Amino acid sequence: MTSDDEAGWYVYGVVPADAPAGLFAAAQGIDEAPVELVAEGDVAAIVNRVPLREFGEEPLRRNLEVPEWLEAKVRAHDRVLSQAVRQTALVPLRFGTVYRSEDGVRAMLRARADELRGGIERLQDRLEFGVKAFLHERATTETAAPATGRDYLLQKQRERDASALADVTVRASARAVHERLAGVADDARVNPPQPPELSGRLDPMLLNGAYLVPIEREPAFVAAVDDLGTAYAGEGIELELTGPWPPYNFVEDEAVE
Amino acid sequence: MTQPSSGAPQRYLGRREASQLPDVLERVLDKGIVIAGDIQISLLDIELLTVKLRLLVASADKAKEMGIDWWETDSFLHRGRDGRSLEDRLRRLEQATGVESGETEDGGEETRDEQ
Repeated sequence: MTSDDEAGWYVYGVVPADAPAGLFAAAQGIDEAPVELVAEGDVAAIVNRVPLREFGEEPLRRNLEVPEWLEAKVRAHDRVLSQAVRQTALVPLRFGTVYRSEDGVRAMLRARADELRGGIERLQDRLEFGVKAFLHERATTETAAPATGRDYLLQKQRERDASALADVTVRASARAVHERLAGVADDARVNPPQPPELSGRLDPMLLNGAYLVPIEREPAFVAAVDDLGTAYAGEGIELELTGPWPPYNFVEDEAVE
Repeated sequence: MTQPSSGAPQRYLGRREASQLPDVLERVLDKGIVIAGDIQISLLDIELLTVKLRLLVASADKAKEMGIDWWETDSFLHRGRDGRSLEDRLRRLEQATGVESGETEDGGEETRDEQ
């Protein structure tokens, strides 16, 4: 159905048409292809050509089930967008948006111009950061060996009470961390915690937050994460900061029609 | 036995390393603006894929056990899309794959072969 060398246009995201020239000159796109801008009006799509033998409907369906393929492509998607994140406002697209021609890309830019412009304006000079909170195994307090059976039962009861109280405490703390960071940020999202098989850590994840931070507040945000990390270390809570990310978590409004 | 943490948060600023693959997947597959391209099948497949990813994420029993569920109010699973709720699709997927979850029990309208 499609010849082997037929190309599609993979779209990573959208930037203002007047974004700095050469912004993606050094970018390595999917399959190391050069990354280009296709401008239409005052918005431009970040694209690279991809072979339809990989990204056509049938092959794509198969490839999505191949973890190595998916990882390479997903990383390329993030790599291209991430390298521009401090230089321009950008609206990230979800993985796998492919057009059959440059005209198709242009038609999309025309059809969604208002929405894309709105997103660009809202995200201008803002960065996404991720903050996760993990719970270390709690240090147990030293107690004397129980002298009697009754002492033993009382001690067990106290331990259960303490453990339940500690759970309530760490939940409240994770929430407090989120609220404090959301206060520094312009916007915030809480995503479901990743389970250990996804996070790669055995420690339970208490918070998986994303924060949209104005560029001038970046130092304040990083300082807040440091402060909170110190403040809650005593409860066994450890924070992890990632970013800056393209604002993946903050384009939902644009997606709703 | 575990050392209390020093309090200095781990920072992975400006770095993208292997350990961050879950974060990259979570964002690139599940976030970002959805625009229908010419290759239509991709979006459907990716949504299915994210549902699979969510099955993984939703298996965070440890968090549930501890009662850490305050994030559920705005979680992905509670958001409908394209007129079909993801919960419906998750339920279908679970039935198809034989994965059991607490939410499937009262999903009465689907006919199921009971033993």
